[in-house]
Amino acid sequence: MSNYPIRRSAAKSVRLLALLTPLLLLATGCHRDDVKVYRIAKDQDQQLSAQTAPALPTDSPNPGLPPGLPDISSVPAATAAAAAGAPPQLTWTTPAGWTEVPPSEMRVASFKVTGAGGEQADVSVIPLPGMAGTDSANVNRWRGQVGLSVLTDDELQKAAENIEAGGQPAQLYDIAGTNPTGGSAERILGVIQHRDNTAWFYKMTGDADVVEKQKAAFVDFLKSLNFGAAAPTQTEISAANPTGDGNMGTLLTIPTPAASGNRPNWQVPAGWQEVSGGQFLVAKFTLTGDGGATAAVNVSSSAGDGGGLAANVNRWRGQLGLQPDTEMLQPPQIDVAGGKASVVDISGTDARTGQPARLVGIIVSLPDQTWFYKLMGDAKVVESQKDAFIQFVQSAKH
Amino acid sequence: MLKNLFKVFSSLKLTVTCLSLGCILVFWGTLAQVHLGLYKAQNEFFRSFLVYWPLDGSAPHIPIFPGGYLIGTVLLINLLGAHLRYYQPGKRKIGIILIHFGVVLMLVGQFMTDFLSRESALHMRIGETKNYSEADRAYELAVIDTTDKDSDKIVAIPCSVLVRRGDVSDTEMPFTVREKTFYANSELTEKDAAGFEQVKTTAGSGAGLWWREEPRVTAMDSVDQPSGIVEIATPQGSLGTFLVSAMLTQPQPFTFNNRTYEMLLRPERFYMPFSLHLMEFHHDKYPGTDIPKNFSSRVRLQNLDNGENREVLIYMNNPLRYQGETFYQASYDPDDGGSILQVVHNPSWLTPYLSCVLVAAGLMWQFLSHLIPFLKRRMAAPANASVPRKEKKR
Amino acid sequence: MKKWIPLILVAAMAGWVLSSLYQPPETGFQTREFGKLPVLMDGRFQPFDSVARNSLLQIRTKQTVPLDNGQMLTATEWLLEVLMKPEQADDRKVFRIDNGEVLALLKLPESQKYYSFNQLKPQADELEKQADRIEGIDDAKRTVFETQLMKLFSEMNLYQRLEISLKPPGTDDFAAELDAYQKSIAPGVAAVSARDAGKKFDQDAFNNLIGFMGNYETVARFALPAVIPPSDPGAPRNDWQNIGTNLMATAHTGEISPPAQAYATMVTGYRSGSPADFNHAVSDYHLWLADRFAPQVNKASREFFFNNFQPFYKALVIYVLALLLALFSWFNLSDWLRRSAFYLVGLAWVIHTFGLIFRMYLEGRPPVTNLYSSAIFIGWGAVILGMVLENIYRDGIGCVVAAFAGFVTQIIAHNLAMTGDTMEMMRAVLDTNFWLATHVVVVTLGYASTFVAGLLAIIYILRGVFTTTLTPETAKSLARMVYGIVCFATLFSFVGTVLGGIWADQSWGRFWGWDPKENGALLIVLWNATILHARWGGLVRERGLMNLAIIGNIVTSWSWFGVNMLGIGLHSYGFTDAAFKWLMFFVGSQLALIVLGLLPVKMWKSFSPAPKS
Repeated sequence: MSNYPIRRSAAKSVRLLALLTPLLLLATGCHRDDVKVYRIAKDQDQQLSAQTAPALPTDSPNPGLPPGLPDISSVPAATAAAAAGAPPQLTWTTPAGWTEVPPSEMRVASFKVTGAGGEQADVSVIPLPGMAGTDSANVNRWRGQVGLSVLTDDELQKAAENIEAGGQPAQLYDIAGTNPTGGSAERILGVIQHRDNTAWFYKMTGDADVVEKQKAAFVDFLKSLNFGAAAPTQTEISAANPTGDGNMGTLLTIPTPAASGNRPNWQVPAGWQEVSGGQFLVAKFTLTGDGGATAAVNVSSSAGDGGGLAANVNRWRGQLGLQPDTEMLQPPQIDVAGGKASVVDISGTDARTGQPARLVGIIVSLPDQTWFYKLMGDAKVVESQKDAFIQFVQSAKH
Repeated sequence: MLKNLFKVFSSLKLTVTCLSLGCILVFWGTLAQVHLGLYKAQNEFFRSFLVYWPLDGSAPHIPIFPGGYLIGTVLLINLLGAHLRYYQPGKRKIGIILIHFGVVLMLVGQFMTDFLSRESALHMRIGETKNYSEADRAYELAVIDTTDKDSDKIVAIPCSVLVRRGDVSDTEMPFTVREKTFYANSELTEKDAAGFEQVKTTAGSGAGLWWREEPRVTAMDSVDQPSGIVEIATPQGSLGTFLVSAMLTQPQPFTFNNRTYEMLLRPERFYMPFSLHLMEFHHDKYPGTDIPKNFSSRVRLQNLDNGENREVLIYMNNPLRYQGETFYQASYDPDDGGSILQVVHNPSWLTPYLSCVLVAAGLMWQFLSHLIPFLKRRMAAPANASVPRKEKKR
Repeated sequence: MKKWIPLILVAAMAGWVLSSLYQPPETGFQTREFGKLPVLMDGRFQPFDSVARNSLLQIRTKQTVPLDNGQMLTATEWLLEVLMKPEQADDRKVFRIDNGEVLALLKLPESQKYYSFNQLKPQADELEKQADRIEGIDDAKRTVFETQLMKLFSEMNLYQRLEISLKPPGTDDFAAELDAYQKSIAPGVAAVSARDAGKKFDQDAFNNLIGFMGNYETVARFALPAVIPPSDPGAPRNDWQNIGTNLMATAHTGEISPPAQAYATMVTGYRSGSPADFNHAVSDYHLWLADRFAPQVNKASREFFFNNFQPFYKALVIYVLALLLALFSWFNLSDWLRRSAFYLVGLAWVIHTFGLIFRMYLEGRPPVTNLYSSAIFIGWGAVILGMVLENIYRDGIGCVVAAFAGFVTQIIAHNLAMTGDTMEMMRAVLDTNFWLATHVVVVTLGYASTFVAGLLAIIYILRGVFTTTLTPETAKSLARMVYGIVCFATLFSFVGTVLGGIWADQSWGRFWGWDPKENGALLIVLWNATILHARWGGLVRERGLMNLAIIGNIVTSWSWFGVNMLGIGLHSYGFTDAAFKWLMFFVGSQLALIVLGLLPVKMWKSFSPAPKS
């Protein structure tokens, strides 16, 4: 290898380095973000309220999949049978001594148990669609409610008891602590189960003695839950009377058909403009009144009781800049397809725009779902559309 | 002195050292990904000049190993230096020159990609139209002037800027946004619970909430949820402190000088001069299984500037390339009702392609230019396999 | 005479291979004919024979079941029992359990290796409880006991689902049952409509129909293969149903479909021990299918042929024979040994290639689609390189490399086949033949060549340390071979890796993501480049080159298998305990060889004083 004169090549390289270095520095400097200013036309901005969590590329380990593809291998390969018919109906066996309370806005099932000395325990079954927080977040929240400290994931896993609820495995957390108001011994039996895309919470809360005595009954109750298979044909020919013999006994895993949420059929009043509801609304309409005043109708649904009347009304009050109402009285009811619905009418100031606004909210409670219809916006527009809104809600067949 | 330095920098020994260090770095960095998560390990090992101990970034911050950028830079210098030193025109050297030039191009191209490229996600439900994409992991504080009827003026402050500067002013904002507290990952709750402290704000909907800081996430499919308390400082005094959070999707309103504003923390947005509308999304599976066969999104591309309005089908291995952005079918909503496109802006995308061609050509040249004479010689000397050959060793 | 031996050996082995094509006609139940029937499972059409072999491999890790009387059940014979006579199948010892803790949980004696379903049934509840608990635990965090238990659990699940795939539980005379079902449909449907309308209805007819349908609904839910083709000629040809769904749909059509009828007759014939009925039903059904679904029938026949021919096993046997002959030829130095080995390797390679191409044809894909096929292909590439080297140098070394690589990769592949179907469908992003044919093939050849370089280096060290056969001439040849192969490896691994990056760029816009598998490939490129530069820089000579090449083996095995065990990133296939042990063993063996290579030269038998020539 004959060398080019080293001195000259050394000099050349110094020049090259001198060229490269500013580039490098520029590059590292380039990386700084800065403030951006821009203008956006108004209606696109409405996306703000509908937008929640960032669109997560849900990457997971999987052979050869790029980031951004969900992990298919975790979905059971069970091929579901015939097409799904009616949505699942939840049935159960009520244990002795439990008083069934009518299901509320959020609860699919609700019971009260009274002990010998009048102490109470409360049982609830609440499904929440999609992500309802991680299991550990929820269990630690329960722990916090009885004044206990947070546990790590490993500790929680050790604390979990595996039981069966509705034919599928579930984790039970037995949490004993004290009631923050009053200081009496309180106990929570909290059960979390993930079925399809919904998180089911079965909870017994109350006086420690009562819960202690009722724990076995609670576990039995959970076992007795039946989520009702989808009918194989349109009629009610179901697996009601199998003539198979006992050989079927120990089939080890039983996949359940997926439930599907659906959009009700309704009659949309004239002048209502349907717009994209975003990720968490079933439907959304915009209404325009005189002078460009606007109002919007949001339709959403939650499994179970969706949080309860009080929680939702207070949430709406908050949107109108009002303080929560702790003394909530039963709001007036109207008839809708499938039962009754509560109507609330609130006036205040729109927290987003600072303008006076009015909100008419209708909560339709169905056996295992609650529908929320909200008409909110400029007070005059709401006033003029209120009747049409009520008719719209009454026309909805879920 | 310079001569010796040059000798060192252009020596083959340095090349071997750099390559070996590179091997160790790649191996170590791969193992580290198990605990740090892919994203963090990448930044610590490969996208840095030095690898520090401890690896999670806490004190003491001692450099213990050269990082990817340092090894790459030294290799680059070494390559260029070696060429300057040993440059010799000739047919035989063409192969080596091609190879090394290709490698240089690859290294430089990857540096440029790291600095110039931008990836974001565009999530649309069926029927939704969007003209912006969102960063996967970066958040911004959007201060929106909503006074005007037709349009909003948005001052978007990236969280990194907010934290770095503390006080953010801009000619377009008549007040200063002051960061009081910022948690890169956090949790909010409506009830007092262990470990949480009450949010102390004087305005907005922060009051009544509890929050706490969380450690940064490492898993690939989770994202940090930041929260912070910011103060709006005006020449006439403070308008109050507000809680902004990735988990609070309702903007915090306030007024100043007869103008109404809103403020919220959201994933960084990149607006495009055109919009996409998701018409259909299909999730094809193999019959009788849940194995995905294909995902495809039919979108309508609408560009008001040049009147373009057409349908495009985006599916696996078939992206849409438009105006310097490329849209890939990346993911979808669990209920098959929405599609997530990965939007990539990478001006230096061509460099790996060119580099591949150059290096492949160079390697082929190099390889064949040795192999063919060797084979010829072996053919010429029949069956005398025992005769030692004087082959010119490189 | 001696110069004919190579040809005679080749002819003999070829004869052996071809002789297996002949199969004596079956007496009794024609299970082979049944095995040829096509079904739709896991997204692809396959013959019952494949279903049987793959399921049995998963459960028993073998493709046959030995009986107490010394006879063997083929996979399809076993599957027939499972499908049609589950009470008999439950007694067969097919479940392989090695883990002591699992056996303790099941209260089973540790003396055996295989257990029957009846032996496992008593503890089914306990198993289920454990499985529920373990399911919530992350894959990577499970203990060996937990992983093994989940494996057994899923095998039992597979087994039970197969049992319910053709015949409803409790049914004996399926054909007669279908007759009764057919008759019950009209009155039953009438009863149901009457009930719906609120009118009076025939309770018996109603109960009758409900009874049948309840049974079939269970089958519909759990049956695994879809065995019934669409009856409507206009329906998409892929729209097959399992027998339960099909029978339930019969309530609407009123007519039991011919395939369902055929299968029911087969079941009845099998259970009642009348081969004639069974065979008739099978051949009639085969003809019926061939008329309407010729492509599926043909594909199934071909796959059946492939399963029975077992080309890779045959190639393996011939590779072993060639290896032994080639090794002897080093010491014996007679050319006929060497040539025999060379020709045998050639024969094995031809069969190997036949198998590879046939698989490509059956799958409709380029040769490498999963870990199993990568092993087959690496062997194929290594054998070619070995044969080329042998052709140039003619000293038996290339032969040994080829035969050894062929043999070892076949064993690895065989072990990788234990997880089930090796021709499974490709996931969406992998569903691109272009990139599978370019990136994957080139990168796999890069792996193969790095292994070949490492093998050559091992030969150098072993021959040098333990024998006197490493003459200066041989040593120089080996050095040149290693150098040449490393150049080849650099080219292919670099191009292959960059092609992978380009594929990623085309697919999701990111050329390089520092994914563990990408890093593994990068490591191979970097290491090969290190070897070349070290040699050019005079930093290593012959021995050093060999040691570096052996490190190349470690790097490649890490990239091929090690990265999959990390459980993270995009290419993770999960952690298999046995594979990890083997990987560690391999790495250990390579390190030991390097230590040998580092021994001072005078300790090498070939270089010690008193030189040969």
